[in-house]
Amino acid sequence: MLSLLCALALPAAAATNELSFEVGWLGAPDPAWDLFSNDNALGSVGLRAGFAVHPNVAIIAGWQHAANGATVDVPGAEDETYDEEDYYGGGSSFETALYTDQFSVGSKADVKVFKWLHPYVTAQLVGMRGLARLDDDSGDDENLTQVQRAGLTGGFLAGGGLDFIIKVRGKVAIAPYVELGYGWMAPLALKDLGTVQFSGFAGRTGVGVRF
Amino acid sequence: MTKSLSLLALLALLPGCAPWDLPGNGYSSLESLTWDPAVLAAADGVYVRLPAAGDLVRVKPDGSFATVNLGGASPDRMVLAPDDETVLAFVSWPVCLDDDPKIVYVDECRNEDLDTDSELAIIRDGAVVHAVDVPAQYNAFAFNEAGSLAVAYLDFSAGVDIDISGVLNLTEAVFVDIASGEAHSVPVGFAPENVLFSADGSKALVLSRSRVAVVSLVGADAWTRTVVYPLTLDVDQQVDPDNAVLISNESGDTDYALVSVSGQAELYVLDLTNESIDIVELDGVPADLIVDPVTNRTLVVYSNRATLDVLEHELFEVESFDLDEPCTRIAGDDGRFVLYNDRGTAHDVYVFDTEAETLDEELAENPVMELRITESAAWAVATMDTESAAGNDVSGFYDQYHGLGLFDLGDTPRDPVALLLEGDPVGFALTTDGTADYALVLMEGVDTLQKIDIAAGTSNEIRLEESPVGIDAMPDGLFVVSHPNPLGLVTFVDATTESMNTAAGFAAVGLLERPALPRRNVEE
Repeated sequence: MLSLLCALALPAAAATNELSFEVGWLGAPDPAWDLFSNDNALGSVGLRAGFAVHPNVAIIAGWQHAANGATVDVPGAEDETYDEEDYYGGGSSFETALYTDQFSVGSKADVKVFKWLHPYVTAQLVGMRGLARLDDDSGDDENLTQVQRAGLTGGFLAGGGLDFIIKVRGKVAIAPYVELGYGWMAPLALKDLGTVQFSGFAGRTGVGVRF
Repeated sequence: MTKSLSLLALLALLPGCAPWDLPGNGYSSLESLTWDPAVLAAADGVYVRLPAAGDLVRVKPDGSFATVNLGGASPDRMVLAPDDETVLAFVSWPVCLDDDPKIVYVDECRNEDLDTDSELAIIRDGAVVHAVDVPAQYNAFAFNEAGSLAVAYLDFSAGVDIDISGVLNLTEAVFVDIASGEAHSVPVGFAPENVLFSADGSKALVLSRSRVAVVSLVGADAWTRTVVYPLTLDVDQQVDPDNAVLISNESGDTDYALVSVSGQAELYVLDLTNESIDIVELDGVPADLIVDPVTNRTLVVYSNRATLDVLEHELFEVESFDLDEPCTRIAGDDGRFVLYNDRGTAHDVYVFDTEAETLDEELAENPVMELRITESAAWAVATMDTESAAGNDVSGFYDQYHGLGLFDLGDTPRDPVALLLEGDPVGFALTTDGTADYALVLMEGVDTLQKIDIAAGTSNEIRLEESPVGIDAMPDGLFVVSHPNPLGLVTFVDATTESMNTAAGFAAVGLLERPALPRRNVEE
């Protein structure tokens, strides 16, 4: 809605149809995320499509996929005050993985400052599907201790960006872009495992075709 | 155009922050175990502590599992009551002294404001039925025979770290009525270390460092200390809490307590009726003593003296039986006892019949680690340790291996059988199918459960999913085997049918939960 209002107030027409390949980041301050990654953000790759509905406004929809994982070390029982020593023989480890798919839909309003530079604002609703997997022997497909839990959540993204337009032929252009903003997702509930929440800094960058 | 291409190149470098993460490229670690393989095998399932997540789960033999709601608390220690249905768990939870309502999670509370509160949770059928205010430092329980009463006290010998927050009274024991959750603190003496219950359940004897207190459990003076028997005048002397027995007469009334003092070659006879103390002089420091209900006498063995002493309960006169080697343990309970040594290199195992007063000597190939008697009382089964090889003969060969000793307790006993074990025995249990007795043996690093027909001396392997670390018997005849898998793995084994079912992955429960501050709105 914000981007729509901004667009209506802008005189120069710029919005076009688009299809882009992009990468993204979304903040992950939740300590639960530490079991899947050493980074502070959820990095993802995906596609974005836009359909111009107004000289300054496009409806955009996107999909972002991410796969993160880690090796998690567990201390040995001798570190604990148990009678039964060496249960874990000095420690053990397991593998984790979190696969996420973000599906977004929203609007994007831009303005032509130069022929090659189109700043824009965007607001998007985001749905996320997450699949967590924990496995102490990921090389064995029949391993009994493969724990797998899935969950759904939703949130939003809002921010601003810059389209860099490189005309190719006629109305067709190649357009790299960069976008920064804020994102918030409700906690992703992975059943009895618990939750992971993503929020904070959000960024997207990619390159696409404008037509 | 050149400028545009430069921008394009710059943007192409932005993804260099590695957004192409794939599983397995990170590293993390947990501060605590995911689960404690020392599980509690109750009638309704196996209770498992999850230290990393701070949760307690109940795992059922069908493989399903569910979290026990402890109101946000974490289980620190737990014990199974004699009814096999009630679990007593010391639980604790973080408290933030800053009452700012915006503080929801533990990591949002400053360290200097963080404290811990605790209680004793009484759990039945996967739910907390009572929460009792018992000091969290208390780490030991004693139960009366009926299993209706638990006594919580602090056992220093357990070797746990004792955190003193505020004031800790080591002179008290807390008596808990398991059915109602009612608790009574009773001053019993410095550092209570063991509790014995009279046969009729009317009183409890609490053995503390230097004295024995009698606590009344019924009547108008219930939950009060009625008598104190000071046993030592020298502060360096302490009551030996493990070597004390109660003596009941034919009508079931408990008349006497026999208590030994650490390092002293004597037994204190506490007359519980006339409130007096007598002393029985012995020739050594008792290593173990046990009451034989058949002849109403007490058997005493010594770690440094090759003698079995038998005390009658009228005048407490001693009858001695010579042994070839000292014994430190006595097993059995109805007129037929097995004497063995689990502390040294002695190999002799004795079977003593209290009525016939016969003492049969058997030989264990290697030193005994642990000995149990079958439910039928027909066999004693012992795990045996390795020892320095004494030669190239068969004994030297045995010395290199752990073993399982099978001792016939029948009237015409067969020679003992010594089975060699492939690995270090990490657990063993005894069972029966009604016609034969079996020993179930687990070995370290060996992913099979050995089912040994004791009479035949033959073994049958039950293959497990992974190597085991422990075995526990469930009340319904099932056995639960724990495996050292970080995500949780136990196997339920029906030893009779040799069928099994596995529960896996329960240790992952709650691993992603951000620790919250529970009970923030509860008035303390």
